[in-house]
Amino acid sequence: MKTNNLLSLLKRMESTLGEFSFDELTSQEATYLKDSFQSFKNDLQNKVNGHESIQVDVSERAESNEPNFESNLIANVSHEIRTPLNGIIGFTDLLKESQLNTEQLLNVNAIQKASNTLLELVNELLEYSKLASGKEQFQEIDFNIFSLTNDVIFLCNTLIVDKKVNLTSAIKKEIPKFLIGDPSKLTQVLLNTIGNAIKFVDDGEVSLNISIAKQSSDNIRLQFEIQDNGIGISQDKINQIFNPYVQGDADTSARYGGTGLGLNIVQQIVKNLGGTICIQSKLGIGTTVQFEMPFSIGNQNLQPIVPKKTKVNSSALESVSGLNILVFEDNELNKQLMQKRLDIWNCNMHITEKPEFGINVLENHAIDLILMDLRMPIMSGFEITKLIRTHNSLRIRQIPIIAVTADYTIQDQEKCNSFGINDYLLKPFSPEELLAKMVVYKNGYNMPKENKNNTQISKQNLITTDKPVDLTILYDQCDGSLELLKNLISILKNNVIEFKSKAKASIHDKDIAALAFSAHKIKGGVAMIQANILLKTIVEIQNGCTESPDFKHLEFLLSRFNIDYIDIEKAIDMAFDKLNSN
Amino acid sequence: MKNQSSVLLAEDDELLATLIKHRLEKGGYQVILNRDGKEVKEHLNMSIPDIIICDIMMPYFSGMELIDFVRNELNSNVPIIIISSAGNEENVLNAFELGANDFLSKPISPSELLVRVAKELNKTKRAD
Repeated sequence: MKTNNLLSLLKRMESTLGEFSFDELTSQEATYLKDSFQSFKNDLQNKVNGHESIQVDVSERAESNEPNFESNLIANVSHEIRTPLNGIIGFTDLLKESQLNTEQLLNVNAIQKASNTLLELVNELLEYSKLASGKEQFQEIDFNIFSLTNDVIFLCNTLIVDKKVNLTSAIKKEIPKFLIGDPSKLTQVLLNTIGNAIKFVDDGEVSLNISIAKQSSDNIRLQFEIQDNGIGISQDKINQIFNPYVQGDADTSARYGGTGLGLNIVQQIVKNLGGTICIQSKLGIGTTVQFEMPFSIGNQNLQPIVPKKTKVNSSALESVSGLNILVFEDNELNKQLMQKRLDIWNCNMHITEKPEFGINVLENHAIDLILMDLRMPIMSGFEITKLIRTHNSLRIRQIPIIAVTADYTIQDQEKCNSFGINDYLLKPFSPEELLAKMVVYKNGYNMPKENKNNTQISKQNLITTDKPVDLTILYDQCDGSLELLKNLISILKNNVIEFKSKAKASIHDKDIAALAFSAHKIKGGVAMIQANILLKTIVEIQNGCTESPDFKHLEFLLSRFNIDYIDIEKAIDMAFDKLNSN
Repeated sequence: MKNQSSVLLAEDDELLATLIKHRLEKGGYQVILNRDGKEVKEHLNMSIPDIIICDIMMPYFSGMELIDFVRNELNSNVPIIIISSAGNEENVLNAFELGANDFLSKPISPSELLVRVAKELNKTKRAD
């Protein structure tokens, strides 16, 4: 009954609120109202939930309510942004591979740089929202702290562009090599803090020191200290530095960019992993970030098979130079790491987490080696391997695949074998380990000699016989009129544009009849130019237009069509130019 | 000017339509191109060409309906050649039963189409 009384009172209050204009309030009155409501709400919560949460400071609670809504919003928006952004980045990569003049290349580079920056920002926002909503999951796996540190330093060194920063690291030898914890989160914290330090130093030193804070037989608490002699932060700002969106000063964001979420994310991660973090800084002198984190001590004889150490010598480097490598990897940091390493070794790299994009790369490039992360969100490495090993091109089926994984058990080994994965690399791996694998597999490892030759031939076959388009049949029908052929090609191109947008709209509206009709309409033209890759996709789309359609799959097929068409369109122009010049 | 026979071409695939139209015109035909069933019907209500070439799958009004319309409502014997990508037996039989004179499955060869058009027109001439 009492509840009913309270509810009717609340209802009356709500209706009064409707007739009420907030413009009439002074800011002080507004604050009173807000505080009064907040304390009412807290009292109510305590009555309902008991007194367990009464200790929590009111201001903190007010904050913790907002981030929940805010973080959900951010998470949703970030996801929505990330999807088209990945498209932009993917297509920019493709564009970069086409024949561009210097100015166009500069422009494409600018697009690439801007979209990568945007992606970083979006990822940061997503990360922040995940942390704020408590949805972030942490790993408990064995990792090698020494190679992790090496990786981080290697990657951070690549951040030093156009300035004189001396980056050094020191890690206590007494620290056990294998620890149990979340290596990717630790990497992220280190990259973020060291990256931050580098950002604010133009000419000077940045150092990382790792030492033991506490150790028992099973557990260890490490202390990490990141010191720089950069611009520093003033005393009045330092207390807020961990707050989201706050940067050193108003100029900072303008000069250095970023969301201002970095340190907040770092702090949240460290806290969630049971650690502490503090920051000391003097304006103009420099900044020191210190954090401690607990780990369990892992089995020191962990690695089952120690890979043969290959020194990074010049002959090994020379032998991998120019290799074409496809990397399936979803983790942004690992992507960057791989990219930088392979860049330095002069390898051509394609990196993606998307099966369709990867397969497209395989079909259009002579890839020598595939590195495959086994755990990816869109499709697991095993499933992608299955797609590759059952591909209708012999050349593609035979490309060596090396699994890249954080944990590798006997079961994994069996699974890898049964799926046709040739070897594995344990994460995190040193540059030497990666190079060793690349040297071993660069010529198609487990194939007998004569087979190797076959692969070479089939590679050539792919280029000469699997022509993406063939205009001769259409040209024959034009009765010798190049003008007509040109006309037909431009009609076809327009039709494709129309098809792409109509099909997209149909999928969006879940209008399967419209999609089937569009696919039917474009099929003829695509067949006329013998664009078999496109034709195959169109037929698959038509076959997918059933009574219970799988729209996700149709969307995938359409995106494959879109990606394939980029190359096909180029091939059409080239084929026409060839006919024209004859 | 070998012949000035008029051809009504009903095909909504612009690419194929352009190709066929070009070839027919080069062969001396006068081509009226319609993109959908509605346009075709309107045109036929005004005048009947010497021959109709028509796709089965068209917006608003299918090729099959068109044959039925020409034969049963306009009571015309104008030759009708059907082109279709759905060249299964059922469709072919259906088209002929409704009164089509010829049936070509896509992908079609415009050269072959030209021969078939000429053949149909010859038949009509002899009948006259």
